[in-house]
Amino acid sequence: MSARELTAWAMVLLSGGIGASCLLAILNAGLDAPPQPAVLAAVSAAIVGVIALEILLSIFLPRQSDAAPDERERMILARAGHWSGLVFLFGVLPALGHYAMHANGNVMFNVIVLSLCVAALVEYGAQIVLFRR
Amino acid sequence: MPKAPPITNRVKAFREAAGGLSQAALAEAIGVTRQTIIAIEQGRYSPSLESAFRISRVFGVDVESVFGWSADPAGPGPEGR
Repeated sequence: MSARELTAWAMVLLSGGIGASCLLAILNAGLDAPPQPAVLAAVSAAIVGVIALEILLSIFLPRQSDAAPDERERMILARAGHWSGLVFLFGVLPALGHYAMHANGNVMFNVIVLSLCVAALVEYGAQIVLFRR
Repeated sequence: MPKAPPITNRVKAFREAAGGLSQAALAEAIGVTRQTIIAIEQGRYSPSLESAFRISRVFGVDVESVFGWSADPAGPGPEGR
């Protein structure tokens, strides 16, 4: 398994955990509730998790983690990023539309946070599928 | 299952004919990852023209000796050269 696939697995787990945590917090409080402390904590945890992952990879797989993606990996990253962007767009556009109609920034914030989590899951999940195909 | 690309190759045969050159060594020689060499050998990925030339140069043969079109079976393998 390459370092990039390993990263994708770790990011799927991380974004899945963070996404589930955000989803629970938002569902409990309601979609129009102001940003929840649990959501903000999850975002902080995501940032710390990504930094920790990069440090671990550079310690245990220094050459692979430092290498630029090759031609096949670049194609896979671009395709996964494209799908992820589309998923994000499907969340962001309705959120912006809702904000334009109702001027409720809380709904927009919560929907965009959830869209980000789903888009991250799609991106890294697609990378795993494409790396293994 | 994704459709296999129409480009066939004899990379594995040439690698073995070249004294058992490892996938990692070939990957290092042409500047890709070992996973990409594996994908090429298994017919799951068609390399760029640049990589195809690099691979053929490693084996000291022309591109069409290593790569072929599935509708037009590839040329002779390493044993026929």
